[in-house]
Amino acid sequence: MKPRPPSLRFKKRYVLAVIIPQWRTTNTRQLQQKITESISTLVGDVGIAQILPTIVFYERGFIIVRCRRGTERMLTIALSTVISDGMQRIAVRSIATSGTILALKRKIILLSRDITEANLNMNDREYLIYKCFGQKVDLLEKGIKSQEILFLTEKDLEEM
Amino acid sequence: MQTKVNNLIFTMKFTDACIHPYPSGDSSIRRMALEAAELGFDSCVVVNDIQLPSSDIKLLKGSVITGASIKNVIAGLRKIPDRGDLVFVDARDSSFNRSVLSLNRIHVLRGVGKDPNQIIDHVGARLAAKRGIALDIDLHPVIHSREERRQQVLHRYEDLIQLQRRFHFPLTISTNASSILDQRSVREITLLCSLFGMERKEVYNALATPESFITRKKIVEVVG
Repeated sequence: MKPRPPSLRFKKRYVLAVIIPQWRTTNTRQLQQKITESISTLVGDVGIAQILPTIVFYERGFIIVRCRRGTERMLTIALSTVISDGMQRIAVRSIATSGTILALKRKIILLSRDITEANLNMNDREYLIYKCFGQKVDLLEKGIKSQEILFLTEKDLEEM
Repeated sequence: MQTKVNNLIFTMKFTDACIHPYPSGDSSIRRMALEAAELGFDSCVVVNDIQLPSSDIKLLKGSVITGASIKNVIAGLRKIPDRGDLVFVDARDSSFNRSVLSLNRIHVLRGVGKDPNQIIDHVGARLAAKRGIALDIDLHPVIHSREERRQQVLHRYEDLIQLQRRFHFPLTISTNASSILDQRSVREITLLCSLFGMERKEVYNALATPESFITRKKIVEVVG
């Protein structure tokens, strides 16, 4: 099929969002399903057909979601109601909207920070520590089932 | 108009009216305060019975009274030390709510519209406006519930906004977050509130209400 000329295509917008916690690797297919589900529960099938949400980029906890121009607002609302990626609890926080992926990728470079990993033994439990930007420290219990997760600061960790 | 609304952001102090840090949740109070500051808040109301540390934003202490009858609420009020805490009462049926709204020392009636029996009528709305008691909009069910429950909550909040526009009682907005994953930014809250017809200016006013309770001049208080 011959592709349509640009003037006849739907105009698109791209929404940049960050997945909290940023160190978690997310299955984009499952996350895509969750985003579609949250839009569906908010505005139904007609809304999905109008928004046409698609994850076009995922890197270091940042996602870029494509939608049709004029529907960014509804997509942002839907993103704020995503509470899991199908496996774990997450939060999706929208940061910016743009007409090009390139502009958002530039923003990612500005916003992305290194996350360091370490081990910790506390109360006979083993934890993985993720030191994020600034004072933020995330503790993830090592294990297979029901891993405890704690969101702390460096000062909290010193006091423990 | 747009510039006027934008100017509001710089003059108002936004407060998340209810957060539950560790041990109720999985995030420490310092971390929640750090996140709240990043999300555009100037203060948070902490309803846990914990020592408040120094942080980037102002942390306000809140006390929640959950009583089956008005007698329990009065007894609960007596137990709260007079140190300037924000006092929240969990809403019940409309007659209970009316009785609560006529009490002194109460700042916020929370949970209105969360369940079908936790409602406020026009008499209660008028009383809330007269007494300056705020009604809380809890965004937790809007974010976390789905289908029928969310539909009902959105409908009840829309009804509450209609009453607010008629009687002008104060509103507060809370995320009821027990984790940093439940916290939302001021921008996201504005968008979520637009689902039940709240305008940006109304959202900003509601977010600034808890701070106004603190700065309000203290009057002579009589309990009971």
